[in-house]
Amino acid sequence: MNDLPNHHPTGARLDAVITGDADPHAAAHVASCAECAAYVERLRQGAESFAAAPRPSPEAFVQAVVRRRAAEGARRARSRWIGATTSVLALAACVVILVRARPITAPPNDVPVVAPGPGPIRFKGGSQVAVIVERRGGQSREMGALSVAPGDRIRVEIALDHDDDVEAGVLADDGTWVALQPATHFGAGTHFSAGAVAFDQHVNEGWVVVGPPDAVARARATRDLSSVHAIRIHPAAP
Amino acid sequence: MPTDDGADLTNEELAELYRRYAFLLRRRCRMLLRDEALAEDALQTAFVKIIESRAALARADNRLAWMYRVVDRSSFDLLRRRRVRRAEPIDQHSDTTAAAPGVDLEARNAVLRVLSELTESEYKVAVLAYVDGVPQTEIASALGLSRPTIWKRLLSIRERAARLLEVTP
Repeated sequence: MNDLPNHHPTGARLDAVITGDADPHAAAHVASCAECAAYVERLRQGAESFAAAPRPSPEAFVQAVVRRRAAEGARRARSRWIGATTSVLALAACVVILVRARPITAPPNDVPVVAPGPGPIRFKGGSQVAVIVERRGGQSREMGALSVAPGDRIRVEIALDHDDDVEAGVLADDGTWVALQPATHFGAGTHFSAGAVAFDQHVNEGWVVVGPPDAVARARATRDLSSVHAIRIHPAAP
Repeated sequence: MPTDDGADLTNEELAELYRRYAFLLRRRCRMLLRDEALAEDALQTAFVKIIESRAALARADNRLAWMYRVVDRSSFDLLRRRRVRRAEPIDQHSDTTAAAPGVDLEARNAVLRVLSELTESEYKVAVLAYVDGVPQTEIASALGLSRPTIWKRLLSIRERAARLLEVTP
């Protein structure tokens, strides 16, 4: 490591050339310096590739940001409220404990999956789950049952209005588990799973399962999906 | 582009900022965090702040540089919260490996490995010096500190990076 003087504009000033925010000196330097011109050209090519197929799309990204902002606002409001009403907090904590400690009503492992109530997806208080499906270069955001075709790739989008531990994966009907998101402590906001699942020629039926790690572990062990978000996966019709 | 009227940015204005700046902002988040999911998280957090900063954005001489400061802060917050998480090697983020001509690539990559160990003030100095290649005098001016202070902080950061590299080459 050294502190050699740098006669090139700083990285941020060079980066600004491709967004049109560059100062005149940086722009003039790029015009006369082959090294900086090559760097800017590499950036420009990357930016053009991104602009041709932005992921996520600007609209999807903005929606995620708006949801995150709303969630953070709700969390701040809740914090103020909790601070002002300690006795209510104690009561709320008891309620949470009762809900979390609800006995498992699952049947034994050899009994078929306990489907999560009416409809293909469940929403648990304060969180929302969607599945991003990538198919032949396109992308869609699904909140209901999925029709998955060979070659499709999926990942999950998890919107929280509070900090929580979350785990996600695909639970096939034959019991196979493929992780999408290892147990992670997320803050309020919208998060995308660290991993994705790509389907090969044979698409097994199953569920996208998202929830607190203990609930996910129970779902995997008992096939009781009543305490997690669960989105059904069907093979797409040929 | 946003005007300085104090209101929040509209969704259309936000989408336009995303189209224009997301490539560079995401690239920077990935470089600082070396984790795809965390980078996406940091970018969203930064845009939440940007929504409410119409006036500051309109006043900025260089909007990209202003937004870099916002994503730097968001990335720092995530690094502090998730400091136990193992980062991916910088080589896995091919579009971030190229450094601006004035940046010492070896030093930058070494410092990126210790970012989560730094205090906020050290982090700011490290990013300006080793990611952006800003000279010490300009860093001192930007942060309102003396040049000897900047020199000492850079020395401390380099020593920490060197120690880490000795342990985990």
